[in-house]
Order: sequence, then structure tokens, then C-alpha cells
Amino acid sequence: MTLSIEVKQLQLKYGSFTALHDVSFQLEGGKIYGLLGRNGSGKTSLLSILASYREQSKGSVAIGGEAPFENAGIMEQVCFIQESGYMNDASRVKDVLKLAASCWPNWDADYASRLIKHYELPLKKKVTSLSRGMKSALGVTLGLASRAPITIFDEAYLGMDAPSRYSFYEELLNDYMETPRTFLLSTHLIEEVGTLFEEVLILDQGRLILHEETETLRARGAAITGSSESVDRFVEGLTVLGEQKLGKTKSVTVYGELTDEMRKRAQAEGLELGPVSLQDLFVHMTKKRGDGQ
Amino acid sequence: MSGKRKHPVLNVTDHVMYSYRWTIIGYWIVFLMIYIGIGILLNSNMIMDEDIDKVGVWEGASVSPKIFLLVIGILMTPMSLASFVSNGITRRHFVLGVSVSIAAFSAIFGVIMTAGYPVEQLIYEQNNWPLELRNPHLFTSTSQVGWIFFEYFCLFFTYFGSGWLIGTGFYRFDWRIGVLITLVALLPSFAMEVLLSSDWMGSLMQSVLEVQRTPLAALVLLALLILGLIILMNYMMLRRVAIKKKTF
Repeated sequence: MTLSIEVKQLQLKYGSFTALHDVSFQLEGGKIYGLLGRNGSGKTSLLSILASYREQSKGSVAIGGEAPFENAGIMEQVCFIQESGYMNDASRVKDVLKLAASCWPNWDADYASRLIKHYELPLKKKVTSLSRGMKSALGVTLGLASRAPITIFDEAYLGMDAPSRYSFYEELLNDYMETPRTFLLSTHLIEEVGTLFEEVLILDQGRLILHEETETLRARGAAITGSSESVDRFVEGLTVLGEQKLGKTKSVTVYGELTDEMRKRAQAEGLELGPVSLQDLFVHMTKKRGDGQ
Repeated sequence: MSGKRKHPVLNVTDHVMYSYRWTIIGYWIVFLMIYIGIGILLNSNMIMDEDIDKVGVWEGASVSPKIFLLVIGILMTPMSLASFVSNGITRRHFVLGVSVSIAAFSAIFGVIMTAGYPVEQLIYEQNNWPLELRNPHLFTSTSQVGWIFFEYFCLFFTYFGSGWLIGTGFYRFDWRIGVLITLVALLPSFAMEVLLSSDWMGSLMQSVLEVQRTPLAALVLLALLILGLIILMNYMMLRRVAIKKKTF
């Protein structure tokens, strides 16, 4: 089962502060989406509305064609996991899992047991006594085993060490292949997770500034590598996102689609063209005046 | 996949009762130990207060469980709402589930209080102590178990409910409005005490203010209305509340 998400002219205000300005987008079900944005860009606010944690000030949200807020049929299909979480600290891990198992209609107990074993979760310990990494592992276990048609991870794996994070990405991908559903991942670890995203949404200062397929987005930039002189000559007039130099070799990342003519010229000058990293594009698109560059 | 699922309201009730089971059991163990201790001291004539062997000790025992339930009620929304909503439970189902839990807890507490009277009667009879009720109640004899249960059930429910309103008020609003809501939240408990005219409130109303108790049929309806109002007030505050990070 997959569910589509449609957001129209969404606005969220905290008193006089507007966290989301007229955000509109449509996500079809059964894909992995990346939600990127700087701190305070409105990512968690947007995800909180999708998960019915709060109600929007204006605009509309439809999940599977229905408004999700206080809609029991939709709320039980949307699992929202955050790093700091909303688990009761006084509860034992086994009680947190017991509650989740009784609430999520598609809860997969076997899968949960496998993940518990994999992350070595101590069932008898209280949530409050878990390390940050263990809390993240518990959150990830809840999210994956919920098998909710829309599963949202908001920096949920940030507390895990690198091997655990990579194992989570692998697990998420395997699970996605086995039981397709919609994953929405909000993250700052773009380099690590970027390859999972099929589509990317970028929020900046409460506004949706981009919603594109990842490959299309990557094509918006290029990494040009070659001799310093040739590279400098080639990138004249282009928007440079960053550069690295090693001896006489230089690699420059530029923003903007390269025309066929430019590609031919690069080839003629012996320059290598490569894809630009999602992170470089993200930094460029969300940088503020005065942030450098 | 998970098996047959309970209705979300019953699911909330189940988990609330499961979460507080040891707190409740521990409380009653301590509570009963204290009363057994008092009984032993009375039996061995180590307490010489003349009043004690004329009036029941159990009658004054309801203050502690009322305050205990008030405190549990204060914790209810801040401790539990976020974890239920984050598991896909609606606020409406949470309110209804907690209401059923409160009714269940109040019934358990009511049964224990009701059971205490015949036990005390037995102890007093064995010692040839005359047993009198110190204050007015809905019941006039300890054999009227139905009215004993009803009186305590209503009192426990309202104290628990008042605590729940206080916790919800602080969760929903900032601390200043929370303080104001605390004052309003205590009104249902006060109203129930007045309505039932039981215990010290009954003594004050009937002996000092000379106010007569409302006829029983109207009293039952009004008591149920107060219980309903507590649930409604909580729902009104929680139905659109934004889920916040843990406050404890």
C-alpha cells in the first residue's frame, strides 16, 4: 500500500513567526524522498504537520486524498521518527516496542526482533538509560518495523555511529525493495544518504525552493577536473561552487547545466566532467549573503 | 504482521493501566501496611486516643488516595500524550482511553475503600468497640456497599480528573495560564465534594451551613454530569494541541 501526499499553500505560524510560507508540492507514493534544509528552515515543522503532530495555520495537506489531522485512518499510516523522539523515558525498551506493536496496523514483529538483535537493543533497560546511539537505533527499529505506508525519519539516525548508520541505510533500502512504501528522510548527512533519494525537496527559510528528481538536480552542476589553466579557462563566466587543487591538477564544481557545446569543448581540452555532489548543490542553493563565497 | 488489533481507545486504556500498575500496587501495599500498623497499635493499646475506638479510622483514609490520584492525573497528559500520538493514536482516542482508565482506577480504588468498611467493622466488633461514622455520607451504614462504592468512585474520579486537567493545562498553555487553569481544574473536585456532601464537606454543609443534601436521583445525575464535564474539558484543551517534547 502506498499513499500520495499533496500539500497546498501550507503555512505555519508560531505566534508572529512564520515557519512555513505557502509551501506546495505533491509526492507520489512508493518513493524515497530527501528533505533538505538548513537549521531552522522548517523541515521538522513540515514533517510534524504531515504526521499530525500539529495543525497548519493555513493551506491544506492531503494524504491518500484525506486530511491527516485527527484522522485515525491516516494517522495510523504515517510513522514519524525523530532523533530525540517522543518515547516515554520512564518506559522500558520492551514496553516501547509493545506499544508500537499494538498501534501500527502493519507492524512486523519478526522484522522488529531481527532489528533488535542486529542493534543489540537491551529490552529490559529504560529508555532514559540508553545511549544516544541506542535511542537512535530504537527509533530506527520502530520506524522500519512499523511498515507504515509513509515512514518519516527526521534526523533519526544522527546519534548512531558510522557503521550503524550505513547498516541502517542498507536496511532501509532492502526493506524498501521488499515492501515498497514512501520514505521521507530529513537529514544533514547529505553525502551519506544522498544516493538513496529518488527525489529531493529543499526548504530554505520556510519556503520550498526546489523539488526535483535527484538525477535532474545533479545535472544542474558539474565537477570539472584537469590542468589548472584549462579548468580556469573553461569555468570563466560560470558559477563556481568550490574548488580543490593538487599540484597542477584542479577540480572545480560549477552550478548550471552544461550545454552539449561546452561538453565537447571540455573533451577537446582534455577535461574530465563528473557529477556534482548533492551537498555542494545544497550548500550553494541555501547559502545566505555573508556566508562566504 | 501483528495479529488482531484492539480498538485504539482500549489500547490506550490498556497501556495506561499497564504503565501505572506497579505504582498503584506499591501505593496500596504501603497504604494498607500503615493501616494494619495502626490496627496493631490500637489492639495493643499503644494509642490511647479515646476518639479512635468510637469512630472509624477507615473513614478518614480516603484523603490519601484522592491526593495520590490527583498527582497521577497531573502526570497523565505530559507523560503519555506524545508517545500515543507518535504511535498514530488520535487525541480523541487518547482522551477517551484515559477516561476509561480513570474510571477503571477509580473503580479499583472504590472497591478497596468499600471493602475496608466491613473489615473495620469486624475488627471493632471483635474488640467490642462501638463504631460510628464521624461525618455524613451517602451511606448511613457500612453494609450499604453500593452507596459506599458510588461515593468513593465519584470522588476518586473527580480528583484524578482534576489532576488530569491541571497537567493538560500546563501542557497546552504556558505556565501563567497553567496556574489559572489549576484553580479552575480543582472546581470539579470541590463541586463533587459539595454535591455528595460527604466527609468533612458534608459535616460543614449539614451541621454548620444547614444545607440539605440533593435528592439521590438528582445527585447521581449531577455527579455523572461532573464526570462528563471533566472529560469534555480535557478534550477541548487537547483536541488541537501541538505535540511537544517531553516536559518531564
